[in-house]
Amino acid sequence: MMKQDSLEMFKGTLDLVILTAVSWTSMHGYEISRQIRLRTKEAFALEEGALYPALRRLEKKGWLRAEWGVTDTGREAKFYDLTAEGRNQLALKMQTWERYVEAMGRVIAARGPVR
Amino acid sequence: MIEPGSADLNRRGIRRSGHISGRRPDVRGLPVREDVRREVELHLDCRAQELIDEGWEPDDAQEEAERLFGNRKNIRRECEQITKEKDRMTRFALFLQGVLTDIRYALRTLRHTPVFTSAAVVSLAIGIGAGTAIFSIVNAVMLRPLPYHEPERLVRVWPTHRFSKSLFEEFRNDCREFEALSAYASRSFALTGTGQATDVTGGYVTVSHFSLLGIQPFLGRGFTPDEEEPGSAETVVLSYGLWQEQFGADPEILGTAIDLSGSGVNTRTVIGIMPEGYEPLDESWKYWIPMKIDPANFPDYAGTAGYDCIGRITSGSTPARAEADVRRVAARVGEDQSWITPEDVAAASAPLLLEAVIGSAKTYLVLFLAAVGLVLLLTCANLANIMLARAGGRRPEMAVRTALGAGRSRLLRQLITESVVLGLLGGGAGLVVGTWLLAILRGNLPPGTPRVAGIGIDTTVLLFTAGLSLLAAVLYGLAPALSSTRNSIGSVLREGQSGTGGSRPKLRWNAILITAEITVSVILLIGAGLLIRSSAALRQVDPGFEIENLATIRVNPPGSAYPDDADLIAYYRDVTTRLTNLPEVTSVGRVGYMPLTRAGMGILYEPEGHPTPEGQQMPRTKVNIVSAEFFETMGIPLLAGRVPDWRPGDPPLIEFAVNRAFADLYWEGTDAVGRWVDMNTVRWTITGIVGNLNQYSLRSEPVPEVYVRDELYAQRTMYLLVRTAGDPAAMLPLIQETIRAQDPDVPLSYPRTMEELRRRSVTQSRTSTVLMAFFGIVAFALALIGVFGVVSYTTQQRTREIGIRITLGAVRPRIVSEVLAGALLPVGIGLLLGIGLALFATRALANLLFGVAATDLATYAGVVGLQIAVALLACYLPARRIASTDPMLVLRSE
Repeated sequence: MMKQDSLEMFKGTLDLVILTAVSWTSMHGYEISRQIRLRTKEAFALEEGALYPALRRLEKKGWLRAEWGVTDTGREAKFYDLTAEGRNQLALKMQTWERYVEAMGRVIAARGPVR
Repeated sequence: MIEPGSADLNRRGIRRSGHISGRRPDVRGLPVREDVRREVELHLDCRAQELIDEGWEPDDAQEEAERLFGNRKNIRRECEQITKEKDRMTRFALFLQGVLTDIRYALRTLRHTPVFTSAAVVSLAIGIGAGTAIFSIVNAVMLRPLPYHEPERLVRVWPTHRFSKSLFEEFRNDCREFEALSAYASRSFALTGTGQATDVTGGYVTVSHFSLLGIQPFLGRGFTPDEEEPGSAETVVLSYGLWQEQFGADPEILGTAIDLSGSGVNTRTVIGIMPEGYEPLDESWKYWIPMKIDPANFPDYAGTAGYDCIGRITSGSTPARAEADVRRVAARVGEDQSWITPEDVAAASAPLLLEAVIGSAKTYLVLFLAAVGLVLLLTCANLANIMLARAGGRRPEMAVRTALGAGRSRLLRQLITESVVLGLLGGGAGLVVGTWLLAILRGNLPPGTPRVAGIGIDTTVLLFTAGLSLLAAVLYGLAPALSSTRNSIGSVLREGQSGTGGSRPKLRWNAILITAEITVSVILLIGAGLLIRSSAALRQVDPGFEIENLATIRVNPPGSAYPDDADLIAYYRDVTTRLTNLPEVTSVGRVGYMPLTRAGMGILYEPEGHPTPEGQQMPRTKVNIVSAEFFETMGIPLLAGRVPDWRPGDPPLIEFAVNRAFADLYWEGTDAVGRWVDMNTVRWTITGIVGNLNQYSLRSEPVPEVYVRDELYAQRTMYLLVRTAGDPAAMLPLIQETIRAQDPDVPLSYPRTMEELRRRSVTQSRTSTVLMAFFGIVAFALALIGVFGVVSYTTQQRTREIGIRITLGAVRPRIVSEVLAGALLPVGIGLLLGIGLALFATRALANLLFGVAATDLATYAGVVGLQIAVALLACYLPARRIASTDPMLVLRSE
């Protein structure tokens, strides 16, 4: 999905995206990556593999908890779930982002004639 | 059978087991590599499937999935890395958590046995406290580097003679391995004009002194080479302390003259102030004046040999090469000057300055350190002993916990944590004891102990104390921990049923403990015994004069007010008369060099009828400068003849007295009276023979000595000796007042009684004796408790067996003697080992002993006798108790 017009991800954004993805239910890595693709409509320039180090980093921080389980299709997979700490972090990051987006929205709305 | 209290232990065991065998998330799951590989594989399979569902060919889909995934190798490596770090953190957190739990558990266990815990903490506190105090001193005096630039390049230059200025110049001009040399001596000058006149000690140093040590004044400047020239300005550098106390820290003092009077100079210009905290080469120095070197003034240049010398070796050189260099120069000088003999050349040395500064303090400091180490070892042995006994009682607890899944290493960790917690508690208490002990020791250090200003509890000492506590914990904790975790569950359960306890290896441990304790105790007691006998011998020494009711004070009339000999003679006459007229004073004498101090002067002489053979050096004797009343005031008997008289005139009457030791060198009985002796190119007549006295210290034998009248040999600084009817200490204030009434600008110093001086003379041996006696008694008590404890415990273990034997008709005395025999074998071995080691170890004491040999039979016999008697008692009490128990009670309790 290295399209010409795909966006560079801001630093830290991937964490938020991951945390959001697993905020409803626990998922394994592939499901998370699919979720991200669907939600963002593949807008971000992101190697799919880059998800895995990020997952493990979040696990190390104690925001995610990982456990081997079995998928619907009967395959063994590693499932990721939000910890209490992860949920707190997600709420915090959300707030920051919402304020950021709101502010940027107002900036963009107030633009003069561009072309 | 489970003993009372083990239900509680049992419950704890279960509580602990959750933590011990608890699941460690991910730490013991899949290996990291496999974990990552499987996760990545699943992703690629699912992604490929998704692509196939979208209509891709299977092969292409696989390829596309991998392309979309990115660099698989890098990603996998990154994942592995992160997870490994996480696992490490988890493991560390678990470990910390475990340690904390262990500490909590240890504290709880210790709280449950308050008697054991407090006994252990108190005995550790004594051992560690004493260790801390002694180490603080050793650290400050011996271990701390000298606070100078590159101190490892500083040496003392010692050609077995003190230096004269001319000898110093020989060395300075000829030495090749040295960057610089500096000669020095202490001087005591009168400081007036800043309030009460005082005597102040300072360094008389060559101009190279400060640059050689690498420290410069923080205000003003150090000495310049031209200040060595005769006739150059008289300057002085002040210490920070003197500047603060006497000159109000006034920076304007630089360049002004102060009244520092001595060595024929009355005022000196201040050119510099040394920085705060600067440690002078000699702790008593409060100022420095530059040494003038004037070859034209022969008596000063070559005639006086009272200087020491230090050197800084060149950066490429070594102390060994420096020493060879010193020998070479000494040998060259010896070619012209016969007083440097080939033996002197061979013995010439260049020890590191630190070694030279520590000097003889090393002997007793190392001795104290060894003694305190042995005491601590004993403390540990006793604790190990008690803990071994406890280990037996705790075996059911350990067995249950093992059964619940705790590994041996886990239990070991728990037990060692317990020891360490106990050790740290003891160490904490020891620090308190140590601080307190140090405060006492500080005031009682042998006089002449160097670098005492640096003594204190600093980081090094704290680290040492912590280390000592941990070391002690391992010493007393390891064996019991190993012992109580060694047994399998089965054997413990069987033991629990039979109730016989102790297995064979533990008995051997007990025997080793008894032997070790007796050994250490014997060594320390013999050391203490020898020192106590030395002290007693020292107290018996007749100093040759009457110590009681004698007050002394040093007087230093400044040259500014008393420039000539006649002025000094008149001043001392007047002061003596004033003092003699005081009520309660029976007589007043004067002396140049105080008996029982190190001070003294030597003089070359040639007696009547004993001419010095051609080419040989004249003999040298000690000379003291005294007033006519000196002998009467001191209570020194006049054995023959009369006190030398004095009459001014031309020619003056030149008479003197000699002591018994001097007279005996050349003449029989009283023949010396009326003979003459040539000294300093003048012919003197002996008028009297007086009794010997200990000029230097009570330890040294009286030496030949001669006494000349102070009117003939006027000396500026003299001691006044006042014989009183009552308490001399009470008279000291009045004595000072009377002398000041004559002239308030004459500094007075060292007001004290002769009894104080005697005590100072024996302080080194007194401090050593008291400390060694203290360690000896502590060691003795510890060994006693130890033997008693071990024997009690082992006999108790045999209660059942003995009960049965008594039932079967064994007689009690036989059982008592059997128990005694079993315990006395290790005691005997301990005694023999102790004596053997003491014979070896007390050689280190030889320097401190007086009037008693290091192999003194009475001391050895006394210690052995005492040790055997008390060890017997310590064994007999538990033996009798066990033999007198009611066998039925014992058997019924099974």
